Amino acid sequence: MPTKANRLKESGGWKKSLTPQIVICLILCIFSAAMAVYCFLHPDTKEVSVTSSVEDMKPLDAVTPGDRLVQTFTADNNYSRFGLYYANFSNYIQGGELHIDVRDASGRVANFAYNIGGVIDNTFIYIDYPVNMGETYTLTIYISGTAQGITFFTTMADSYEATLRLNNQPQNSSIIMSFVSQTQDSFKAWYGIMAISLLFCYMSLKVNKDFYDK
Amino acid sequence: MINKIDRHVIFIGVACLSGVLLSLVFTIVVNIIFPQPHFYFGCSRFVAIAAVTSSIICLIKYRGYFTRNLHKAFLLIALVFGISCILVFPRVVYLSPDDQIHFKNAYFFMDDTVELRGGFAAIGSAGLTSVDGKGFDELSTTYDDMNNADQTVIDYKYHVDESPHLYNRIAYLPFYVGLKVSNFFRLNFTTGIVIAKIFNLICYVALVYIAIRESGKMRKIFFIIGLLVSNIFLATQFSYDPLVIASLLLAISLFLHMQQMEVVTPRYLFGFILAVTLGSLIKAIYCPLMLLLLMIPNAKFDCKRRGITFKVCALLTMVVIASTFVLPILGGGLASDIRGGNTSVGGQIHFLLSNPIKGLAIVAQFVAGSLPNLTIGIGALVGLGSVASSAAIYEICLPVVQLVWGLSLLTLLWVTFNTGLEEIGMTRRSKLTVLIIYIILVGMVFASMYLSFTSVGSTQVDGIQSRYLMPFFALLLVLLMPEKSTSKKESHDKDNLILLIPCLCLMLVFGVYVLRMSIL
Repeated sequence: MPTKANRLKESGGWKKSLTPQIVICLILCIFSAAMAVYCFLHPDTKEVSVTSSVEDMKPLDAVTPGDRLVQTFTADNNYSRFGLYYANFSNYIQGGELHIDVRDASGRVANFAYNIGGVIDNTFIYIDYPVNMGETYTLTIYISGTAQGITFFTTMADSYEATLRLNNQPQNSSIIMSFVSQTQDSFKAWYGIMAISLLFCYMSLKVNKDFYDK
Repeated sequence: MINKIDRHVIFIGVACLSGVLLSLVFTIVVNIIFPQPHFYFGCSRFVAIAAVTSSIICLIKYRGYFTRNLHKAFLLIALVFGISCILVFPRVVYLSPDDQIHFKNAYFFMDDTVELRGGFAAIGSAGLTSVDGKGFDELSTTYDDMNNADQTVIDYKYHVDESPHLYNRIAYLPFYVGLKVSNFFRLNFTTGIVIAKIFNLICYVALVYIAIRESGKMRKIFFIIGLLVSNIFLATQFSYDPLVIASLLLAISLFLHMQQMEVVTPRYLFGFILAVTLGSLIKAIYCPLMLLLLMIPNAKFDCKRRGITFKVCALLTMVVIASTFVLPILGGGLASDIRGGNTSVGGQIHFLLSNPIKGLAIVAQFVAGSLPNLTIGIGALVGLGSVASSAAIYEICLPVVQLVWGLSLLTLLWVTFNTGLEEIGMTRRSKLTVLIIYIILVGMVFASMYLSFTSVGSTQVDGIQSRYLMPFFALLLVLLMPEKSTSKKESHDKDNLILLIPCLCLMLVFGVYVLRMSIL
């Protein structure tokens, strides 16, 4: 047995040190440590996103009903979904739908529609469509049911081999995109470690002075 | 025979009645001089003006008492002006920096799948541009539209880029409680916004109240900092900065109190740890404030070894908090902010490691050039976000803002130069330690923005705002203090000025805004 623990035991000082507060703190420390180890060994799944390189970011001219945006891109990895950086000129748009048709390399088309009134300015609209590495996809974007315009932020940087056409006119920029993938996340273990550090601070103050004596 | 307490009660009642009458007179006069299509009463404006007027009357009458109890004066002034500002400022977002993001986070708080209604989308999209140029009367129509929009459910999902960690979400607890209270009483959407802001204001006021009470000889400085127009404005908006500023002010106050104690007690030591932890969990870059503990001599503990053990545990806590941003950087998982343009944390780190001297020179040069403006400029002391810059308000507000800035700065510096380091239990040597900690904190703030918000290789640091430096502003004032106090004794007249000038500043800003909005 370590010398200090031996001394405490012989002098009976351990009884003085193990006050109810200290005992509770020790129990909480053990619980927190167990929780941290469990979270580390059984990580959660979380989503992470990567965004296009941004160069000279600016919004397109207003996209109104009748306009067609067509963006193609090639996925550089497998992703569970992707997003487009949307904006609405800080206007609350009542009603109307935003349509995004996704065509893959084999020609299959998936249609997505969003209530524009529910889309927040300066955020990414995420399309629940998984993309595969190396494959090229074509997005057709248009709105209906509203006279107000919306827009997307674009980048001049060459990302994901993206090309953009507005009403069949090629653009020298492309819509900023964000790609989401799943990853393992054992961050919850941090909470156990944080609890232990705070408990140590508390115990160091509350433990009997005899504990520190030689 | 009326006893003393009854006299005070009667006076306060008369003051409240006077406030109500003055507010009524103002309402009638404005409607007569600037006629609108119909007589506009405006409950919010009426209550705000009545409250402000009554509180000023009480403040002047009981100035002796409030001068001796600055923490209670702060409570009165901050609550009255804060709630009044919440009532009269537009109930939209894009007023203070990133408030549209904080509003979203407050709504979702612990549940990323909560059902959202149209009011949320309406407020998220309707910035100040949709209310600019509108007076109180027209604004109430806008609020009715938002409340009507809130009758429908919308399809919106909280997305990966937006979802903060659990420990960050603690900042939104006051807002969330306010929204829940509002839902419980089935209040409409815009009233819910007001209640949520009031709860956040109460948290700010409570923490700063304790900070002023515990700060000892620095209570005047903490009083003035707590009542700065920019801090009160942020406390009335959707922002987590008030909680950060208040908790770190409290931490610094507890530290200063311990400097003046013969033997430090566990209550203050652990209180300091909790205050720094609360502020740092929201923004981890402030965790170096924990280093202040190293300045407490071990002789002030009941046992030298306890002092050493405690300091080691506190530093361990600081490292654990710092890991929340260090580990993501090392793991490549720290996202840069797209609003800064071509930003990349990894790219910026690569640039700095490839050009360490150049990188250091860029940051140091920028810090030296911009620090004075960021710490004591107009934006730092009288920041009013988009409220003062809207087209309808700007020209009238600008001279008032400049006057308020001058008054605030002069008062702060005057009180600082009249407080000695000796009075707060510090020496010239400890000033050096404070300077090192201050430089570390400033460096962390600038470095974090250079990594996450600045284009790779840029020669300036983008996105720095005064509110990032406000949490440790009190440390800067400590650095400016002389060794010994220059004032021989307390002067009642000077103390009255210290009490009334911050109140005057808030009154000027509030008054000009209400007047301008009433005649639009």
